[in-house]
Amino acid sequence: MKVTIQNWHSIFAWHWDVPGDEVCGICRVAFDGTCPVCKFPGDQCPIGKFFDCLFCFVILRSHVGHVLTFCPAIGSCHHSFHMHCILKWLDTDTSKGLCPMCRQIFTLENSNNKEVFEALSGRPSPLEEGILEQEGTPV
Amino acid sequence: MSQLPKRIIKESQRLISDPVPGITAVPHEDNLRYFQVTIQGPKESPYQDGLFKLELYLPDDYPMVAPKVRFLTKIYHPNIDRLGRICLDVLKKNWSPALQIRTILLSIQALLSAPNPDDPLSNEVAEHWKRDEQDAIATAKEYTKLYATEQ
Ligand SMILES: [Zn+2]
Ligand SMILES: [Zn+2]
Ligand SMILES: [Zn+2]
Repeated sequence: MKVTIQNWHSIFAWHWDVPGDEVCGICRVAFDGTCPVCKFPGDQCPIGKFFDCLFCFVILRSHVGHVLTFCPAIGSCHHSFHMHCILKWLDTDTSKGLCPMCRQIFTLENSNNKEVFEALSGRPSPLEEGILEQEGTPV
Repeated sequence: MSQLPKRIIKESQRLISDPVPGITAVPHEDNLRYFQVTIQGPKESPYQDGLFKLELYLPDDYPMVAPKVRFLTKIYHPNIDRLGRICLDVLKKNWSPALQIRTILLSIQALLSAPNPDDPLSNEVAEHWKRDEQDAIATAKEYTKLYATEQ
C-alpha cells in the first residue's frame, strides 16, 4: 500500500521545566498559566506594560520567551514562583527579601531569568540604559 | 469587585472538603473574601467547652498581606484585646504567602492553648496573668462560660 500525504499540520505543547511543584508557591496557579494579576501576557500586567519594549530582549534570552511575567522564578532554594508573584512579595516590607516557603534570602538560581528579574525589579539593566540613550535623555 | 483569585477558591474548597478539627470557616454568600469562623476552645485550656466566633477577611492584596482576623466572641486572653484583635506574629511581621487561612486558624487555636503574657496586646489581662496566673485563668474560664457557651 502506498500512502500519499496530502497535507499535515504539527501540534506542539510546552510547559516550564520547574523542579518540585508545578504550581506557584504564592498564588497556587500552574506556571503554564499567568499569575493572577495578568490576564494576557503583556497586555494587562502593569509590569509587563512598562517593560513592553523589553520583549525582544526577553525573547532572545529565554527559550520560550513568551512574556517576562510568564517566567517562573526558581530560587536557589529550589522554591519556584511566578516572576510577578515573587516580585510583588519581595516588594513588601514584610518579606525582608526572604523566600515565602523557607525564609532564606531569595536569590535566583537560573541565570537567564536573573536578567529578567533585574529588569523587572527596576535595577538598571544594560538595555534600559540603551533605551534612555535612544530617546536622547541627557544625563 | 474583580474575579476571585484561584488560590482563594482552592483554599475555600479545601476548608470545606477537608476541615481542620475544631475549626469551621465558611465564606459569606455576598462576599467570598469574608469568612465566618468558629474555633472550639482547646482541651485543657481555660477556653475548653467554649465555641468562639471570629471573622476573617482576605484583603485585596492577599496573599501578599495576611488575612485580617478578629474575635467576635468576648474572650479573656493576654494576646487578644477588648475589640477582639489578635496579637500573633504570623498575622503581622512573620506573615508569608506560603501560609494559608488554614494555618492561620491553627495558629490562633494554638494561641488559646498557650497564652503568652510576655507579648501582650491586652495589657491589663497580661498584667493579671503575670501577677496571679491561677486567678487570671479562673476569669478566663468564667468568660468562656458566660460568652462562649450556648445558652
Ligand atoms: Zn504565582
Ligand atoms: Zn503578572
Ligand atoms: Zn525557599
